[in-house]
Amino acid sequence: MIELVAIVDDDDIFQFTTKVKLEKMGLAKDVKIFNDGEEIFDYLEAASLNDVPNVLLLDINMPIVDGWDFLDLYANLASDKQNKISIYMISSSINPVDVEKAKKHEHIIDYITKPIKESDMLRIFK
Amino acid sequence: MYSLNSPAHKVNFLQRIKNFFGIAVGSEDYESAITSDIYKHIVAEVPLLISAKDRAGKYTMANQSFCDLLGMPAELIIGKNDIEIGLFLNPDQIINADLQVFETGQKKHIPLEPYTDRYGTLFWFKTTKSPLFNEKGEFNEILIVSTDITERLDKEQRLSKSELRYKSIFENNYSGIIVVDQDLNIINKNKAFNKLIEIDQRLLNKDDLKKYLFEEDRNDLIDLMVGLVSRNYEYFDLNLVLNTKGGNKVDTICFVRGLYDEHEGFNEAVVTFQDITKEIRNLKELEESEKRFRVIVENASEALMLLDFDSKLYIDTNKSAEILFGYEHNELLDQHLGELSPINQANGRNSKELAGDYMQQALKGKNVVYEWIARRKDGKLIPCEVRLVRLPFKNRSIIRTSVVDITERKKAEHLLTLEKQKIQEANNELVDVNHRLENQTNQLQEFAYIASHNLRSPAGNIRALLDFYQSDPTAENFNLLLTKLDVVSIDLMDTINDLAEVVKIKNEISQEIVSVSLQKVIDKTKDSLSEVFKAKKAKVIVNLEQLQTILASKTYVESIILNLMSNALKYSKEDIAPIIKISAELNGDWLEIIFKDNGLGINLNKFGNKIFGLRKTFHRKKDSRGLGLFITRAQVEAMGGSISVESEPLKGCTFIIKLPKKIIDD
Repeated sequence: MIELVAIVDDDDIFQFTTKVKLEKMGLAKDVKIFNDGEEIFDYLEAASLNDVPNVLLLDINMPIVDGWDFLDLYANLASDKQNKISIYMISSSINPVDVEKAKKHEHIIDYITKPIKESDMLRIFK
Repeated sequence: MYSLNSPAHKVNFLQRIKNFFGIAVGSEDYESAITSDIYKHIVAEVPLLISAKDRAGKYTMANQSFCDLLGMPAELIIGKNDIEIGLFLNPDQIINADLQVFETGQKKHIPLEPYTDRYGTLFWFKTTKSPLFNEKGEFNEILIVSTDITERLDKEQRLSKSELRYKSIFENNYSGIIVVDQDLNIINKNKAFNKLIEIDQRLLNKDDLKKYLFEEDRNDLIDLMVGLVSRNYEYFDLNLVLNTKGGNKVDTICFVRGLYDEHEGFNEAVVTFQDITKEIRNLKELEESEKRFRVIVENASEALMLLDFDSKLYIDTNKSAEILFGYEHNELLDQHLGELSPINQANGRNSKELAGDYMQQALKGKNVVYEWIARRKDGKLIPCEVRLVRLPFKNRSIIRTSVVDITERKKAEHLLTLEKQKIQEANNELVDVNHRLENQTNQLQEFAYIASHNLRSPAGNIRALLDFYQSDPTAENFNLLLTKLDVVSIDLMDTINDLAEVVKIKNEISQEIVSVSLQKVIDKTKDSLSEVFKAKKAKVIVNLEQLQTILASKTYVESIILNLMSNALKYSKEDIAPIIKISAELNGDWLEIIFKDNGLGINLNKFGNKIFGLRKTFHRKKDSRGLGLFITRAQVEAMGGSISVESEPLKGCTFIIKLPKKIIDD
């Protein structure tokens, strides 16, 4: 069971259904919701190491600060926090440019297309 | 030995001289007639060199001539031999000859005896040495008589030298030379003549020139010889055809020179023949080639004319020239340079002057080519191409002019230019189309990804919601499901509609172009958003000046204005009443419509042109799907224009739409 999961996505239906699923499947103890890259980054900067999530599900298309912009900011985060967080990029986009970019990115563990399959869930959270 | 002064000696000597001269004179009575004094005188004065020597080779007598020659008095000569005298180059030869006479007792004749005097002058003598016999028939002295033949020899030598020269010239001349008498019998002839006549060199000389002539030439020559012989003239020349032994004809120029004796008149004539068959043949060949050339020129398709630059007249023209200019041959020959043209050429220059300039260039040796407008007899003007070249005549300025009618060529050139233009335009269009296609392909790709992405989101959500309910199908969850499904389905419908809209615009399905009043559309949009206007206390300030009406798609214009206006209202500052300023102005080739609001603005440094991309939202507003400006841009571009934005955070946005000015309806 993962201690803390952060869902970073501006789609509230996705936020809702994902959170419910995680809780139902007993994969996460706590789930926090963020609407865009700015929100999550501000949180991460301010949080203590304890409050930093273990898993971060990151959407690409968000207002203000989108997924890519967030990752640029993320590079400046303290390394001990970085080490704790596993970032998974989630998106409806099947644009190979995005997929390629994500898979090459040093801070992204994997790229997952929406809707998230159960198998993907188990893989990420077990 | 008789001494010279002894009377006996004298008598003997005189006797012997007598005998000697007696024989020469041929008179039997000489003894009485001639005294010893006369003999002495003869011996002394005669221009012969007379001397006598004894068996020892010493001189016993020497006459005056001999002493003069040696330049010594008799006393110094007598009693000495030749070696002692020392004035002979070859004393041995002389002594030998003397000895021969002493031994044989025979007279000896020496035809050529050289002698050099003390001054180095060379003399030649003809010498006779004879024994002086006494009554008993014995002799102890020889008599030497010499004649000076130096001068004669000289002459002979000189003559033979010049004769040799003459002979050489005669013999070895390339021209046939003969010497004839007044009847034209050949007295002498050279190798070249034999060759000319085709006679073997070895045959005998006797020949008659008349044999080798044809009747007419023969008669002419005979007539001319009459005047030559009678010395009316001393030379003449004429053309003769020789009929050779081999039956061939040789064309010659013949030069006859009479040789005359001062007293006897005509002696003989020297006739020189110069073979001109080659020249005649060359001339014939030239005529032939000229004929051929004539044919070519006459039948040339281009008009050919020869211009004499000094007189400025055309001295020769061909058939094609007559056809081109519409004149008869002799009419053309009356034309001057420049008269077969209009007064001025296309560039305004006087035809005669300009033609003259071109001719001058040609005279300098250049090959001149230029376009020209010629004028036919009937006044019609023809565009031509003219080529000039100077012909190599020594003292005359002849220019060959070739004129070709290029009317057809000009037409073809013009058509070609038009075609080229068309091709260029088509090419440009192709390039444009290519660009557009590329653009479209890119956009299509982008659109495909975005479309699939945008549809997947709501589709995924529907799935997730259903999963959520199915895993825990409580009544409460059912209500949640319904509520959330509602939201998602609306989202989905809107997304699909927007996408469809984009597709429609992108396909450029031609919209109906009508006259659209911007003011009217603005008013209509305000009405449709009246509630928001009221709620926010928003205002619209319009300044369109004269640019009220445009020719465009009504749908697009309404959609654009609606989108921009609703964005301005949506993204207004919390507490500040939105003011939207709409203005229009003409800027060069473009009509600029400007939308300025006083809302939240956008950080362009961060977002740049993403603002017009698909699915882009910049504010946390729940009802922004991010398609709006993408569609607006598509619509503006479909109208042939472009849209851009200027903004700073919290300082509102200024949207500038540029449309081609032809869109203005006036």
